Amino acid sequence: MRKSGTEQFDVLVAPHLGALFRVAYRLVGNTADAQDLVQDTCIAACENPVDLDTARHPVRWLLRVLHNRFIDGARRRKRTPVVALEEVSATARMISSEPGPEAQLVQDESERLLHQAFLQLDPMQRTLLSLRAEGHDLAEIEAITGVGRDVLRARLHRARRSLAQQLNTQAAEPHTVRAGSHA
Amino acid sequence: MNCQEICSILDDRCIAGLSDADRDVVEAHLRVCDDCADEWSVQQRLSKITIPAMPVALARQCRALVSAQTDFGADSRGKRRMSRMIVIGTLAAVAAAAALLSTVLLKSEKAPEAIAAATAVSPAEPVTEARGDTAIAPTVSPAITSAGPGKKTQPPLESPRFTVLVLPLQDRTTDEASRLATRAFYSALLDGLRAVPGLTLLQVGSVGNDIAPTEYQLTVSADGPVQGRWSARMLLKASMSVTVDAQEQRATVPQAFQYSSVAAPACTGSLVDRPVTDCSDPKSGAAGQVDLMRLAAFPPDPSARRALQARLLDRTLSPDVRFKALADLQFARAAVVRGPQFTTLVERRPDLDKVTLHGVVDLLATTSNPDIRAQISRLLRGTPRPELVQPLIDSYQLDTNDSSRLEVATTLAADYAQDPKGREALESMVRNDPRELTRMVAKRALSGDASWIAYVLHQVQDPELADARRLEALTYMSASGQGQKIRELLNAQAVAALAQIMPRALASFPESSAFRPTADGLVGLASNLAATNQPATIDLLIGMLQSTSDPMIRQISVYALARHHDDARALAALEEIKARDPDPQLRDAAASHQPQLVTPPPGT
Repeated sequence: MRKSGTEQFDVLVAPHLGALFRVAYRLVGNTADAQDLVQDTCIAACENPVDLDTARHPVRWLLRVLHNRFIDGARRRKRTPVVALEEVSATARMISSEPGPEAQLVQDESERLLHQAFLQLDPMQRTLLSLRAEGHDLAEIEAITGVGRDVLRARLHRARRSLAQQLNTQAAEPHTVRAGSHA
Repeated sequence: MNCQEICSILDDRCIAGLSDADRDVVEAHLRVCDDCADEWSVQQRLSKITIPAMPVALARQCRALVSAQTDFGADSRGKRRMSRMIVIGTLAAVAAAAALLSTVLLKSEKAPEAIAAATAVSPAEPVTEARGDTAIAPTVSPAITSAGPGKKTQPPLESPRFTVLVLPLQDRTTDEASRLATRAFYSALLDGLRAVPGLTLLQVGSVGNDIAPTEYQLTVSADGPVQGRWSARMLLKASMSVTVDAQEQRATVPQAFQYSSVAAPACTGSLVDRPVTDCSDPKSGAAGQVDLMRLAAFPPDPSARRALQARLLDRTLSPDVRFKALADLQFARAAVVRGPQFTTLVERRPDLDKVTLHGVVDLLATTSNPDIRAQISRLLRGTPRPELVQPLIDSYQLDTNDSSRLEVATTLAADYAQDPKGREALESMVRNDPRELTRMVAKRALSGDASWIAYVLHQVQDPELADARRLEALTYMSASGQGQKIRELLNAQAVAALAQIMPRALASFPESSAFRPTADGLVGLASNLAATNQPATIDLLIGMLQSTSDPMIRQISVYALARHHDDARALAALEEIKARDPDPQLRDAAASHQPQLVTPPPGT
């Protein structure tokens, strides 16, 4: 018999919220957006009945939903016309683009720079590195993202290389201020 | 071993899982290959990054949202809300109406009749929300995403991106205390705006050009002290998309917000990550103003909405907090309305969505506080949903509190008189409710206005009744948004009677227990009575002016008297105010509305 949404939540989702939140936080870089992503994931996950394989590997299934929500959101953001700083009147100046107080408390400078560089990667690269950083092996990442093993290796390699280059570039440049409030 | 093989090892197993031999090989390679060393270092740093603990409320919020989204109203799933038709008049008309909006949205210290006039628009008229987000709303991607292959789900939530340009503070304060308070307020206002998701805050060194199409422009001015208080006024100009002759154009819509160091009336305090406050200090007052802008003017934020819904659905929270979340969810936004002759801007509440509706039903059923039920009933008036009929009836039957039952009766009468269950409940009220006013409200819904008008006029003119009772039906009308009808139904005799009753009532309120519950209603009633035009209206106005110290009612009376300046009694009263009243604002009002008061030069 089909479980209700809340039954599905209690049995399959609730035990894994912590894992979802950790990956979500890695992907978006702040608690508020991570909460939104987890809430989205929960609703999407509980709207449809689950099959046997899903019930056997709930974490994979949930992370797959989270990954899809994140990628879809990133596509939308890409199409969003954001006012770039350069386009604003020459007399205008940024008041603040520092990370919020929460981020300032949590991250030391090194972590902040790492996060800043990480958020420059494309969404798929962020997903792969986040899952890897959370200890998921290639088989699990393959099941979650649907990317074949060989392609996965290559993408992971490129993602790490891109991140390392971003960090090196940051280290070589003076501190820059970025517009925008959320990744 | 080459780089690719090293990467494969690192990807296949974590470093701790390597055999000693493999680890030696890997470490040897990393010592000589900078690229691989960088890569591995990055991966390790990512693994060690600090991640905060999951917020404790998240599980509860997720469960409540899942419940509301999937278990409630499953029959309505898949139905698409019909887009509301946008019919806007000429751009010039909108621009003219925009000026009216600044009056509409001033929450205090504005002539109430202007507010009443602006909001008295037929709900049947076409409407669009003045959200100002057409050009900045994210382009919606195809709704196909996957919870599994081929499954259709809603697109993820995202805060809309927009820009607010803040002009320099116009500080007109004249003492040090007001100046300090103003600076604290302004600083906290900017901090609050910075924290709004999706908002990019800009500041100019001087007043510049008009705003670009996708921006908001905020001007803050501060005055004081006046009668010991300082106040800050905020004028937010939104660049709004409108449809004119089937073409998208943009209009600039100003909205005014105001904060006073004494009144502090407009704090919401229930938006994300901020506790409810009384906004009695500049800092929390500024935070309240940011909340107001988010609710009333900035593009709707689905993330904030979801957080509010989670709060509304959370049974572990107090009913007060849950209701506050509901009030913010249903907060009225500026809307453009095209009437038969002109286009204007009004405030409109959003439609009730499924999750909010679920929260409403749950809150109505679970709160034991009749005041909360009364407030819910009032808040939902004008947004009828069939799912609400039975919960409202249950609430009515549960309540022993007269005021609460009256509110529910009013909502049932306004929105559900054609619904079979609603009609049946109203018929029962007519027969059984112990309070005459409630019975008459129900009767009016069933049989029309005639009996109601007769009842109101009889009440006002019955000298056997106590004053509070004589004003009861009128204060009810005033408090339930029927102020304009008061002016239409009052005849000369009724106004003459009110010219006797109102001064007595105002003189004894708020001390009198008879009037304390209707204090707000009395202020509203005073503004509606001030707009009558009967022979006794001037007596009524002078009586109100002389019998109360309430600044709002006195200001209402002065504005109304100024409209009758051709009457000698009105003129004399205004002269008196101008010459002797201790309130400088009232003196100014008397003078500015009465140019004929200028003393003629000698010899003329």
